[in-house]
Amino acid sequence: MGSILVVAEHRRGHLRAASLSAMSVGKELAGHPHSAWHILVMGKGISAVAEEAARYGAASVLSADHELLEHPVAQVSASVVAQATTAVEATFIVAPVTPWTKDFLPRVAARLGAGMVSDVVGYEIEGNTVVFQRTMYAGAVNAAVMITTAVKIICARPTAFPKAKPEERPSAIVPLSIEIYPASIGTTFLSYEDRPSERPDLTEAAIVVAGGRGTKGREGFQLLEELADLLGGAVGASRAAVDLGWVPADLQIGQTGKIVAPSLYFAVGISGAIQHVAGMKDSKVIVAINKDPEAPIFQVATYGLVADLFAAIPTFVEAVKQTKEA
Amino acid sequence: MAPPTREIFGNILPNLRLAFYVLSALATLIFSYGVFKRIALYRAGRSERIAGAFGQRVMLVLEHGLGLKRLRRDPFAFLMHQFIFWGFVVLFIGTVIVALEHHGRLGIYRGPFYVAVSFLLDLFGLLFMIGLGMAAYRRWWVGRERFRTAPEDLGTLLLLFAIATSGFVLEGFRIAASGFPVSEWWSFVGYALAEVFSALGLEGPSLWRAHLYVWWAHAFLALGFIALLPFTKLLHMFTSPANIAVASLAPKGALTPVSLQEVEERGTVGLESLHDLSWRHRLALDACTRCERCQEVCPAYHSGTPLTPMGLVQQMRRRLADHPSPERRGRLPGEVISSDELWACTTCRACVEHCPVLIDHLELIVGMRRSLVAEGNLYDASARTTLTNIAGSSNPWGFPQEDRGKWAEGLSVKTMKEVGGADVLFWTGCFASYDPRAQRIARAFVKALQRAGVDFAILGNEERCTGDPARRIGEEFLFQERAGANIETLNRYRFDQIITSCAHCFNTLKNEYPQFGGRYTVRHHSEFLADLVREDKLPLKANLEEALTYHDSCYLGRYNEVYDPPREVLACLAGRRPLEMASLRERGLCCGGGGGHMWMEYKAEKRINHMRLDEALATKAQVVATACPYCLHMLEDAVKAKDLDGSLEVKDIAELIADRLE
Amino acid sequence: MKVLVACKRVPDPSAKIKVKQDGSSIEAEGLKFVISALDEVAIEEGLRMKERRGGEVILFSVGNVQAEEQLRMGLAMGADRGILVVYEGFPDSDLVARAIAAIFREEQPDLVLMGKVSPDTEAGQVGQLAAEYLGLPQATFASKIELDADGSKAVVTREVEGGHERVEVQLPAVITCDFRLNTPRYASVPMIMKARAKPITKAPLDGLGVEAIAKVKLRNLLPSPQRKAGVRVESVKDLLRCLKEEAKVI
Repeated sequence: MGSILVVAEHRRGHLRAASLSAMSVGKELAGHPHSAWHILVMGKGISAVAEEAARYGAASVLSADHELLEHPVAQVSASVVAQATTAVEATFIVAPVTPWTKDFLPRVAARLGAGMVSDVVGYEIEGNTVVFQRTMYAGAVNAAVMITTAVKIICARPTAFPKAKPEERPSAIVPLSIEIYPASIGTTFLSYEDRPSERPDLTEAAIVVAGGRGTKGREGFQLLEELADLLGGAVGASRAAVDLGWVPADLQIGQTGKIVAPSLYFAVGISGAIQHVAGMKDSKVIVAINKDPEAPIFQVATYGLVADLFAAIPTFVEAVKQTKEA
Repeated sequence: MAPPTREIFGNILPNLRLAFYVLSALATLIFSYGVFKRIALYRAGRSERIAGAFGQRVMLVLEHGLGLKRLRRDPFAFLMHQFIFWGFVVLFIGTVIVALEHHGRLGIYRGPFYVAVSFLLDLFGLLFMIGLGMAAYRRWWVGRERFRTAPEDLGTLLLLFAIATSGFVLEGFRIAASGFPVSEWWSFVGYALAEVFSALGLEGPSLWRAHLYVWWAHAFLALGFIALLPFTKLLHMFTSPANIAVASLAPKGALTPVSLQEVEERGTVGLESLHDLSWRHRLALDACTRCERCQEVCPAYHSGTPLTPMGLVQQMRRRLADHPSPERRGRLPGEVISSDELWACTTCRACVEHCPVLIDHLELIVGMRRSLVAEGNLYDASARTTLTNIAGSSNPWGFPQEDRGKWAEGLSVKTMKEVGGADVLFWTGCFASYDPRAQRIARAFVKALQRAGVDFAILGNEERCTGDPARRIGEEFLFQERAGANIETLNRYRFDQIITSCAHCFNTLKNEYPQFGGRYTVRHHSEFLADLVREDKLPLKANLEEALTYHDSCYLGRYNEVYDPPREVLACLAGRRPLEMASLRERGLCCGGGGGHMWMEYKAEKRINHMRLDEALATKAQVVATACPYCLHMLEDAVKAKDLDGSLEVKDIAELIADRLE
Repeated sequence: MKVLVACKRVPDPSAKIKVKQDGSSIEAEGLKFVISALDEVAIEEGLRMKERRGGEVILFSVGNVQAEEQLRMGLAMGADRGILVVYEGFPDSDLVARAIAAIFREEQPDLVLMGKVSPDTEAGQVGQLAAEYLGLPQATFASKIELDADGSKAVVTREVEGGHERVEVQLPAVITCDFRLNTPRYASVPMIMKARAKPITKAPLDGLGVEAIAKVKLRNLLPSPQRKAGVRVESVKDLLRCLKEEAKVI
């Protein structure tokens, strides 16, 4: 079997946590049977990132450091990965699931004639094949799939795998010289702009923290915002909170507002009127926090906590912070 | 002594009489031209058949056209119009008598008959003028903030006033000039004026001269009136009774269906352009007298939306007048009437219910909505979601159909599938099936039914949305498809009657399903509960302490005239009649949830449900009783928004009963 | 302007999905199917381009014959014609991409549009695979598409992590759409009726010269463990534990 190539993503000079999960997958796959695993980092001025990546015990860290890789378009990233794959004779390419990898990795698959499985949440090695697990139909179905091609590409869901731990021996950092012909690509990067809020868009977020009348206004919402930021989620609201002017109207979740289906939905201080429930009923896990044990929201919640949100949310935030540090 | 009479055309010389006849002919020609144009305009409209029922229609004209049934609540306006109307009629008859007398040489216009007629003419002429005065007072003094007045309104009033005044003055001159014949004393107004003229020192020849001038003035004014009639709101003399006569005799709550075949033939759906307005619609537009009663009771208008029913009618009328030829197709929704106006309507029917000449504004609005929806234009994305959910999941929220009967778990409720038939089929409706809050209504009603020993069953997860939201939004064919499916299910089972706790389901099942072959006895749960209470089948605990008020649901009240049964039930519960809000019964203020508004995020200055809650608060009641889950939801929303949870509760009648069952 | 747009047949996202006993596929019996919501966004965008610049919107679908139902709905929205590549079975993303490439070579459109991901398989690869096979530029997760005056280039705003990226692509290109791109129009029953006259051509896979090999094979399906509804937790600690260990969402 050939080697494993892990495509790592970085941001603001550091490896992203998601990449660490991909690395642990790569490392484990490399153990069965024994083969080498390598990490690829690409960008402009990324020596610090390469050094960081070198601390995780890979056979080598391929570093593609180039002007054109500051804002690479899909074909360019694909090109680099394809070249790196050849360089280390990889038969497995592992990447974390992120908007960046989702964008370009399929192109690598097409270029190399490789089968690609995205959003892998688990895998089993059966003899000399690997069976990957992923979900379909918004999490209702688990699929066990196999890749039939020689080169296999998988995108791993970060929350499903532990983060790789640093090791004693640093890896060798190998500069990867790449060939890119921008003129032939037909795509030009123009600009990038941060979203006004760091938070993900309500309809796209995997985690949503929503507040209703129980928040009693801005103070309550501030607690929710803290929780949302901690979890990397978006903030939403029931119609009541919007009507009372506590939050802008584009945060309204409901039949006549936005319809969301995140993996995790917090309904805090929300009674659960049907018009609201209609907007979030397809969420995979619903947590209800409400003082009133009779509130209809408890009928749709996966987990219900009868508590005062002003006590419960700060405690929860603290607890989450502690686990993150662990 | 010669019997009392007067010489007709007395002061008018033959050649002048000829001139008069020529002018009359001219006036009549112009009048005819005007009428002819109007009729051509109606005939250019789409054809439409109306049901015969001649007798019923005559009754309608008598009731509304002569009896002014809808003005009874406004005694001032009622009298005002009756004075003007009957004054005009009598004066007109007087003129006819004079004409017949003169040309037919009948010889009846003398003696006691003459005196009687003269008296009546003066009396009714006076009443006519009083009526005009009342009208002026109403529009320009009392209602100066309220009424939007067009130059035409002032013009026609002045014209009528001038005709009446000149008529009396004329009479005065004649009486004075002919030396105050004793019998003329009965023409008391003219007689009084004659004395004034006499007192001013006018005599014989000058009086006759004055008479002549005023006579011509009067003639010009009267003939002018005739000529101008078809071109002004005075036409309502004909168009209003005509509109009343051709009013729809279908149940109030039933919108007119249209078949796919019709659509294929016509090529358009609903009222897409002026071309699609039928003769009846065009007549209706002409029947409007700008009395603004519809606007006064319109919740959309009062909540600051661009919609006013009168404005809608007038805009369409003006546009039609500008583009009478059918080739010019002004697009109705979007161009003539903005889509904001069309979506603002909650279909509460207050406008239709209060229009004295029976214009059906709702038919026009829904007709235009149908056209919008046919092109895929909905108010917002949420309306789209609602319709696709009704189509795909048979409920507006997209909950699974399998879960529809789950509200009844643990209540020993039979399903039709299990038993095949029962005395009563309890139609639960989407709200009570899926909304935890509304499920309490269903459970409460079941408790009452079981207590009363009623043999009933539900459809459970065989029940699907009636399609009412689709029809109100204008997606007529989705509604028909849903109706067809439900009728098929209903026809599989035996039952004597369908009882439902939702006013929308009630209206649709009762009045609209028959259009597609679903003919059932359908009653509302408040009616059924009232029966049970009356028959002593529901033993209730001693009187309810809290002060109760009742909110009339539009689809129950105005649509189906079920005002009393819920009140009876509440009276039994409380031992006294419920408190009444300012707008009650036919004037009930909508909760704001109808017309698809439950499913759209319509932006307006004020919220209709908040306005209604304010009325409830003014009664100082502690509980607002409702009879429809839409109303319940909207009013509870308002309670929450105003943070009044502790002080005011909103409960369905079934809940109130179930709470108090012994 | 010729636009080729995906019109995938997927189960209604609100429907309860059940897996067949043998785990080979989902239970399609009694299931309602719709057009993938993001494909509707793509169709809407194509229609708006047609309304502004004239041209044609061609829908395509790769799947079983029932997919014609969804093509009809797409045509009802206003598209001009449909192409159904018939394939009984579960095509993997790569197969679909190669089918698209074959259609592209025949139709030579200016633009290929599709949703960035579909709610059933949730792979999100097809557009990019097709772009690579055709050697075309791509822009994924588009929330805004601005065509230039002569239709030779497009500036696409992409929703990426943390913000928006703007790229310029030469046409023809493949663009996958995000929800923020537009709100699709409603296809009313009269519109559906009008669409009955529009043509849908059916082409078998081998007729297009596409080999039916799968690069990713499905071994079996299993229903996800049903989360217990309505569990009352006693404390915040309890809640966190459930979320981390049981539900695995944190």
